[in-house]
Amino acid sequence: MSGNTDVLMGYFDSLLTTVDEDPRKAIVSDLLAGAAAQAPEEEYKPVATDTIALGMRVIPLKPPLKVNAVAINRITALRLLHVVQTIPPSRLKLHVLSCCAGVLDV
Amino acid sequence: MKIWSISNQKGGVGKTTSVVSLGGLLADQGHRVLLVDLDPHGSLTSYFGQDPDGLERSLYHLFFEQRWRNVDYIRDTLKPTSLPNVSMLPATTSLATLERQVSGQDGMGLVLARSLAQLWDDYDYALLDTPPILGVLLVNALAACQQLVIPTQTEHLALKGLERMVHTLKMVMKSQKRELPYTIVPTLFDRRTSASLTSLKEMRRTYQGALWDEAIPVDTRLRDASHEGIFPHQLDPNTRGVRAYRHLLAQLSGEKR
Repeated sequence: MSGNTDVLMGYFDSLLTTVDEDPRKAIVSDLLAGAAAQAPEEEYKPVATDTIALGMRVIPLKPPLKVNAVAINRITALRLLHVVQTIPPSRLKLHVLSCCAGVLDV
Repeated sequence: MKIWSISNQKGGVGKTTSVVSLGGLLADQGHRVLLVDLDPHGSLTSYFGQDPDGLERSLYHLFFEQRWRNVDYIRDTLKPTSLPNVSMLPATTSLATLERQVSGQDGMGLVLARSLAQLWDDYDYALLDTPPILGVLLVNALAACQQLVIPTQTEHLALKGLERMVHTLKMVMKSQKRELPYTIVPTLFDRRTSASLTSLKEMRRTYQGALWDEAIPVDTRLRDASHEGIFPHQLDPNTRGVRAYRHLLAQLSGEKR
Protein backbone atom coordinates (compact mmCIF):
# COMPACT_ATOMS: atom_id res chain seq x y z
CA MET A 1 0.00 0.00 0.00
CA SER A 2 1.19 3.52 -0.73
CA GLY A 3 1.58 6.08 2.06
CA ASN A 4 -1.46 7.90 0.74
CA THR A 5 -3.56 4.75 0.90
CA ASP A 6 -2.34 4.07 4.45
CA VAL A 7 -3.53 7.49 5.56
CA LEU A 8 -6.92 7.03 3.89
CA MET A 9 -7.42 3.54 5.33
CA GLY A 10 -6.77 4.91 8.82
CA TYR A 11 -9.31 7.64 8.15
CA PHE A 12 -11.97 5.17 6.97
CA ASP A 13 -11.33 2.77 9.84
CA SER A 14 -11.72 5.61 12.33
CA LEU A 15 -15.00 6.79 10.81
CA LEU A 16 -16.45 3.32 10.40
CA THR A 17 -15.48 1.81 13.75
CA THR A 18 -17.48 2.42 16.87
CA VAL A 19 -15.94 2.35 20.32
CA ASP A 20 -18.73 0.09 21.55
CA GLU A 21 -17.96 -2.69 19.11
CA ASP A 22 -17.18 -5.26 21.78
CA PRO A 23 -20.30 -4.52 23.85
CA ARG A 24 -22.36 -4.98 20.70
CA LYS A 25 -20.90 -8.43 20.30
CA ALA A 26 -21.77 -9.14 23.92
CA ILE A 27 -25.35 -8.00 23.35
CA VAL A 28 -25.81 -10.43 20.46
CA SER A 29 -24.20 -13.21 22.48
CA ASP A 30 -26.47 -12.53 25.42
CA LEU A 31 -29.54 -12.54 23.24
CA LEU A 32 -28.68 -15.88 21.74
CA ALA A 33 -27.56 -17.46 24.96
CA GLY A 34 -30.67 -16.31 26.77
CA ALA A 35 -28.55 -15.02 29.60
CA ALA A 36 -30.02 -11.55 29.69
CA ALA A 37 -33.43 -9.96 29.77
CA GLN A 38 -34.81 -8.62 26.49
CA ALA A 39 -32.39 -6.03 25.08
CA PRO A 40 -33.64 -2.46 25.32
CA GLU A 41 -34.47 -0.86 21.98
CA GLU A 42 -31.46 1.46 22.04
CA GLU A 43 -29.09 -1.45 22.62
CA TYR A 44 -30.20 -3.51 19.68
CA LYS A 45 -30.37 -0.60 17.23
CA PRO A 46 -26.58 -0.50 16.62
CA VAL A 47 -26.68 -4.20 15.79
CA ALA A 48 -29.54 -3.58 13.38
CA THR A 49 -27.46 -0.84 11.76
CA ASP A 50 -24.82 -3.35 10.75
CA THR A 51 -27.38 -5.27 8.79
CA ILE A 52 -28.64 -2.40 6.64
CA ALA A 53 -25.96 -2.90 4.05
CA LEU A 54 -27.02 -6.52 3.72
CA GLY A 55 -30.67 -5.59 3.29
CA MET A 56 -31.58 -7.50 6.47
CA ARG A 57 -32.76 -6.64 9.93
CA VAL A 58 -31.99 -8.15 13.31
CA ILE A 59 -34.99 -8.64 15.56
CA PRO A 60 -34.11 -9.09 19.24
CA LEU A 61 -35.32 -12.39 20.63
CA LYS A 62 -36.91 -12.66 24.01
CA PRO A 63 -34.71 -15.25 25.70
CA PRO A 64 -36.44 -18.33 27.03
CA LEU A 65 -36.34 -18.34 30.81
CA LYS A 66 -38.30 -21.54 31.30
CA VAL A 67 -37.55 -25.21 31.64
CA ASN A 68 -35.44 -26.69 28.84
CA ALA A 69 -33.91 -23.28 28.17
CA VAL A 70 -30.59 -24.89 27.23
CA ALA A 71 -32.25 -27.16 24.70
CA ILE A 72 -34.25 -24.28 23.23
CA ASN A 73 -31.09 -22.19 22.97
CA ARG A 74 -29.33 -24.96 21.09
CA ILE A 75 -32.24 -25.40 18.69
CA THR A 76 -32.27 -21.62 18.12
CA ALA A 77 -28.53 -21.66 17.47
CA LEU A 78 -28.91 -24.47 14.94
CA ARG A 79 -31.69 -22.57 13.17
CA LEU A 80 -29.53 -19.46 13.09
CA LEU A 81 -26.65 -21.42 11.59
CA HIS A 82 -29.02 -22.53 8.85
CA VAL A 83 -30.00 -18.90 8.15
CA VAL A 84 -26.54 -17.42 8.46
CA GLN A 85 -25.17 -19.49 5.62
CA THR A 86 -27.21 -17.30 3.25
CA ILE A 87 -25.57 -14.08 4.51
CA PRO A 88 -22.48 -12.85 2.64
CA PRO A 89 -19.22 -12.54 4.62
CA SER A 90 -19.57 -9.62 7.03
CA ARG A 91 -19.04 -8.56 10.61
CA LEU A 92 -22.60 -9.58 11.40
CA LYS A 93 -22.04 -13.08 10.06
CA LEU A 94 -18.92 -13.39 12.19
CA HIS A 95 -20.83 -12.28 15.30
CA VAL A 96 -23.64 -14.75 14.75
CA LEU A 97 -21.26 -17.63 14.03
CA SER A 98 -19.24 -16.97 17.16
CA CYS A 99 -22.42 -16.69 19.24
CA CYS A 100 -23.74 -19.97 17.89
CA ALA A 101 -20.40 -21.61 18.59
CA GLY A 102 -20.65 -20.40 22.18
CA VAL A 103 -24.16 -21.76 22.64
CA LEU A 104 -23.35 -25.11 21.05
CA ASP A 105 -20.09 -25.26 22.99
CA VAL A 106 -17.96 -26.22 20.00
CA MET B 1 -35.73 -0.07 2.62
CA LYS B 2 -33.30 -0.12 -0.27
CA ILE B 3 -30.55 2.47 -0.09
CA TRP B 4 -28.73 3.69 -3.21
CA SER B 5 -25.96 6.23 -3.13
CA ILE B 6 -25.41 8.43 -6.19
CA SER B 7 -21.77 9.46 -5.90
CA ASN B 8 -18.76 10.72 -7.77
CA GLN B 9 -15.74 12.63 -6.53
CA LYS B 10 -16.20 15.11 -9.34
CA GLY B 11 -18.81 17.83 -9.49
CA GLY B 12 -21.17 18.62 -12.34
CA VAL B 13 -21.59 15.05 -13.52
CA GLY B 14 -25.35 14.82 -12.91
CA LYS B 15 -25.60 13.42 -9.37
CA THR B 16 -28.52 15.59 -8.25
CA THR B 17 -30.32 15.17 -11.58
CA SER B 18 -29.92 11.40 -11.28
CA VAL B 19 -31.24 11.39 -7.69
CA VAL B 20 -34.28 13.47 -8.62
CA SER B 21 -35.01 11.59 -11.85
CA LEU B 22 -34.69 8.11 -10.33
CA GLY B 23 -36.56 9.16 -7.18
CA GLY B 24 -39.43 10.56 -9.21
CA LEU B 25 -39.71 7.43 -11.35
CA LEU B 26 -39.66 5.19 -8.26
CA ALA B 27 -42.46 7.31 -6.78
CA ASP B 28 -44.34 7.01 -10.06
CA GLN B 29 -44.23 3.23 -9.57
CA GLY B 30 -45.94 3.72 -6.21
CA HIS B 31 -42.90 3.47 -3.95
CA ARG B 32 -42.33 5.63 -0.87
CA VAL B 33 -39.07 7.45 -1.47
CA LEU B 34 -36.68 9.43 0.71
CA LEU B 35 -34.13 11.72 -0.94
CA VAL B 36 -31.14 12.64 1.22
CA ASP B 37 -29.00 15.70 0.51
CA LEU B 38 -25.47 15.23 1.85
CA ASP B 39 -23.94 18.06 -0.14
CA PRO B 40 -23.21 21.32 1.72
CA HIS B 41 -24.00 23.15 -1.52
CA GLY B 42 -27.57 21.97 -1.01
CA SER B 43 -28.44 21.59 -4.71
CA LEU B 44 -31.10 18.96 -3.99
CA THR B 45 -32.47 21.05 -1.12
CA SER B 46 -32.69 24.12 -3.37
CA TYR B 47 -34.27 22.04 -6.15
CA PHE B 48 -37.39 21.61 -4.02
CA GLY B 49 -37.55 25.24 -2.94
CA GLN B 50 -35.81 25.02 0.45
CA ASP B 51 -33.05 27.41 1.45
CA PRO B 52 -29.86 25.63 2.64
CA ASP B 53 -28.87 28.84 4.43
CA GLY B 54 -32.18 29.33 6.16
CA LEU B 55 -33.32 25.92 7.41
CA GLU B 56 -33.23 25.35 11.16
CA ARG B 57 -32.82 21.57 10.91
CA SER B 58 -30.97 19.38 8.46
CA LEU B 59 -28.85 16.26 8.19
CA TYR B 60 -26.12 18.25 9.96
CA HIS B 61 -28.06 18.30 13.23
CA LEU B 62 -28.35 14.50 13.36
CA PHE B 63 -24.60 14.24 13.97
CA PHE B 64 -24.85 15.90 17.38
CA GLU B 65 -26.35 14.96 20.75
CA GLN B 66 -27.14 11.51 19.32
CA ARG B 67 -30.20 12.89 17.51
CA TRP B 68 -29.90 9.99 15.05
CA ARG B 69 -31.49 7.91 17.81
CA ASN B 70 -34.58 10.15 17.92
CA VAL B 71 -37.02 9.07 15.20
CA ASP B 72 -39.41 11.95 15.93
CA TYR B 73 -36.59 14.46 15.50
CA ILE B 74 -35.58 12.86 12.20
CA ARG B 75 -39.15 12.82 10.89
CA ASP B 76 -39.60 16.48 11.88
CA THR B 77 -36.46 17.35 9.90
CA LEU B 78 -37.87 15.97 6.63
CA LYS B 79 -39.28 18.30 3.99
CA PRO B 80 -41.93 17.68 1.30
CA THR B 81 -41.32 17.61 -2.44
CA SER B 82 -43.63 18.03 -5.41
CA LEU B 83 -44.87 14.44 -4.95
CA PRO B 84 -46.73 13.26 -1.84
CA ASN B 85 -44.85 9.96 -1.55
CA VAL B 86 -41.40 11.56 -1.77
CA SER B 87 -39.74 13.31 1.20
CA MET B 88 -36.37 14.92 1.51
CA LEU B 89 -33.81 15.07 4.29
CA PRO B 90 -32.34 18.48 3.50
CA ALA B 91 -28.82 19.87 3.74
CA THR B 92 -27.70 23.15 5.23
CA THR B 93 -24.46 24.95 4.47
CA SER B 94 -23.33 24.11 8.02
CA LEU B 95 -22.55 20.62 6.66
CA ALA B 96 -19.36 22.18 5.27
CA THR B 97 -18.04 22.46 8.85
CA LEU B 98 -18.87 18.89 9.78
CA GLU B 99 -15.42 17.48 9.03
CA ARG B 100 -13.85 19.81 11.58
CA GLN B 101 -16.62 19.37 14.18
CA VAL B 102 -16.54 15.57 14.31
CA SER B 103 -12.80 15.22 13.82
CA GLY B 104 -11.34 12.56 16.08
CA GLN B 105 -14.68 11.00 17.05
CA ASP B 106 -14.89 7.33 16.14
CA GLY B 107 -17.95 5.97 14.37
CA MET B 108 -19.01 9.26 12.77
CA GLY B 109 -19.20 7.47 9.41
CA LEU B 110 -22.22 5.48 10.62
CA VAL B 111 -24.57 8.31 11.60
CA LEU B 112 -26.56 8.26 8.36
CA ALA B 113 -26.89 4.45 8.42
CA ARG B 114 -28.23 4.66 11.96
CA SER B 115 -30.62 7.48 11.08
CA LEU B 116 -31.99 5.51 8.13
CA ALA B 117 -32.43 2.49 10.39
CA GLN B 118 -34.91 4.61 12.35
CA LEU B 119 -36.91 5.24 9.17
CA TRP B 120 -36.64 1.67 7.93
CA ASP B 121 -40.37 1.02 7.72
CA ASP B 122 -41.33 4.52 6.54
CA TYR B 123 -39.79 4.27 3.05
CA ASP B 124 -39.18 1.71 0.32
CA TYR B 125 -36.17 3.53 -1.14
CA ALA B 126 -33.62 6.08 0.04
CA LEU B 127 -31.49 7.84 -2.59
CA LEU B 128 -28.38 9.66 -1.35
CA ASP B 129 -27.03 12.74 -3.14
CA THR B 130 -23.40 13.04 -2.05
CA PRO B 131 -20.83 15.84 -2.20
CA PRO B 132 -18.01 15.60 -4.77
CA ILE B 133 -15.42 15.55 -1.98
CA LEU B 134 -13.90 12.67 -0.07
CA GLY B 135 -14.86 13.28 3.54
CA VAL B 136 -17.10 12.23 6.39
CA LEU B 137 -20.30 12.81 4.37
CA LEU B 138 -19.26 10.65 1.43
CA VAL B 139 -18.08 7.93 3.83
CA ASN B 140 -21.47 8.05 5.57
CA ALA B 141 -23.20 7.48 2.24
CA LEU B 142 -20.93 4.60 1.25
CA ALA B 143 -21.38 2.97 4.66
CA ALA B 144 -25.17 3.23 4.54
CA CYS B 145 -25.92 2.19 0.97
CA GLN B 146 -26.47 -1.24 -0.51
CA GLN B 147 -25.75 -0.14 -4.05
CA LEU B 148 -23.62 2.62 -5.54
CA VAL B 149 -24.44 4.51 -8.71
CA ILE B 150 -21.56 6.54 -10.19
CA PRO B 151 -22.75 9.10 -12.74
CA THR B 152 -19.83 10.04 -14.96
CA GLN B 153 -19.86 12.82 -17.49
CA THR B 154 -18.65 11.61 -20.87
CA GLU B 155 -15.57 13.82 -21.04
CA HIS B 156 -11.89 13.24 -20.34
CA LEU B 157 -11.52 14.97 -16.94
CA ALA B 158 -14.50 13.08 -15.54
CA LEU B 159 -12.65 9.80 -16.10
CA LYS B 160 -10.10 10.89 -13.47
CA GLY B 161 -12.92 11.52 -10.99
CA LEU B 162 -14.31 8.08 -11.78
CA GLU B 163 -10.91 6.50 -11.16
CA ARG B 164 -10.68 8.21 -7.74
CA MET B 165 -14.23 7.20 -6.85
CA VAL B 166 -13.62 3.53 -7.60
CA HIS B 167 -10.36 3.66 -5.59
CA THR B 168 -12.20 5.21 -2.61
CA LEU B 169 -14.94 2.61 -2.91
CA LYS B 170 -12.42 -0.23 -2.77
CA MET B 171 -10.84 1.16 0.39
CA VAL B 172 -14.20 1.63 2.11
CA MET B 173 -15.18 -1.94 1.16
CA LYS B 174 -11.91 -3.14 2.69
CA SER B 175 -12.53 -1.17 5.86
CA GLN B 176 -16.10 -2.45 6.13
CA LYS B 177 -15.18 -5.99 5.06
CA ARG B 178 -18.06 -6.19 2.61
CA GLU B 179 -18.68 -5.97 -1.13
CA LEU B 180 -20.69 -3.06 -2.49
CA PRO B 181 -22.07 -3.46 -6.01
CA TYR B 182 -21.67 -0.41 -8.23
CA THR B 183 -22.88 0.76 -11.60
CA ILE B 184 -21.14 3.43 -13.66
CA VAL B 185 -23.62 5.58 -15.55
CA PRO B 186 -22.37 7.70 -18.48
CA THR B 187 -24.12 11.07 -18.33
CA LEU B 188 -24.42 14.28 -20.37
CA PHE B 189 -23.75 12.23 -23.45
CA ASP B 190 -23.76 14.16 -26.71
CA ARG B 191 -23.24 11.91 -29.71
CA ARG B 192 -22.31 14.95 -31.86
CA THR B 193 -19.07 15.58 -29.95
CA SER B 194 -15.91 13.53 -30.26
CA ALA B 195 -15.19 14.11 -26.54
CA SER B 196 -18.35 12.20 -25.59
CA LEU B 197 -17.70 9.37 -28.03
CA THR B 198 -14.03 8.99 -27.08
CA SER B 199 -14.61 9.02 -23.32
CA LEU B 200 -17.50 6.56 -23.59
CA LYS B 201 -15.24 4.23 -25.54
CA GLU B 202 -12.55 4.62 -22.87
CA MET B 203 -15.06 3.84 -20.09
CA ARG B 204 -16.17 0.70 -21.91
CA ARG B 205 -12.57 -0.43 -22.29
CA THR B 206 -11.62 0.19 -18.63
CA TYR B 207 -14.78 -0.59 -16.67
CA GLN B 208 -16.36 -3.39 -18.64
CA GLY B 209 -18.87 -5.21 -16.47
CA ALA B 210 -19.55 -2.29 -14.11
CA LEU B 211 -20.63 0.10 -16.87
CA TRP B 212 -24.29 0.55 -17.75
CA ASP B 213 -24.63 -0.26 -21.44
CA GLU B 214 -26.60 2.88 -22.28
CA ALA B 215 -26.01 6.59 -21.52
CA ILE B 216 -28.00 9.53 -20.19
CA PRO B 217 -28.15 12.09 -23.02
CA VAL B 218 -27.88 15.84 -22.71
CA ASP B 219 -31.48 16.99 -22.32
CA THR B 220 -32.49 20.57 -21.60
CA ARG B 221 -35.87 19.36 -20.30
CA LEU B 222 -34.08 17.99 -17.22
CA ARG B 223 -32.81 21.51 -16.51
CA ASP B 224 -36.28 22.94 -17.16
CA ALA B 225 -37.70 20.60 -14.51
CA SER B 226 -35.19 21.87 -11.94
CA HIS B 227 -36.29 25.45 -12.68
CA GLU B 228 -39.87 24.42 -12.00
CA GLY B 229 -38.92 22.50 -8.84
CA ILE B 230 -40.70 19.38 -10.06
CA PHE B 231 -39.56 15.89 -11.01
CA PRO B 232 -38.57 15.58 -14.69
CA HIS B 233 -41.24 12.98 -15.47
CA GLN B 234 -43.87 15.40 -14.14
CA LEU B 235 -42.75 17.95 -16.73
CA ASP B 236 -42.52 15.50 -19.61
CA PRO B 237 -42.71 11.72 -19.13
CA ASN B 238 -41.44 11.05 -22.64
CA THR B 239 -38.44 13.32 -22.94
CA ARG B 240 -35.32 11.37 -23.92
CA GLY B 241 -33.64 12.06 -20.57
CA VAL B 242 -36.57 10.60 -18.64
CA ARG B 243 -36.73 7.62 -20.99
CA ALA B 244 -33.04 6.94 -20.38
CA TYR B 245 -33.47 7.16 -16.61
CA ARG B 246 -36.41 4.76 -16.88
CA HIS B 247 -34.10 2.23 -18.58
CA LEU B 248 -31.47 2.82 -15.89
CA LEU B 249 -34.02 2.26 -13.14
CA ALA B 250 -35.02 -1.06 -14.69
CA GLN B 251 -31.36 -2.08 -14.67
CA LEU B 252 -30.73 -0.96 -11.06
CA SER B 253 -33.86 -2.54 -9.66
CA GLY B 254 -33.05 -5.84 -11.32
CA GLU B 255 -35.88 -5.86 -13.83
CA LYS B 256 -33.33 -5.94 -16.64
CA ARG B 257 -30.11 -7.93 -16.32
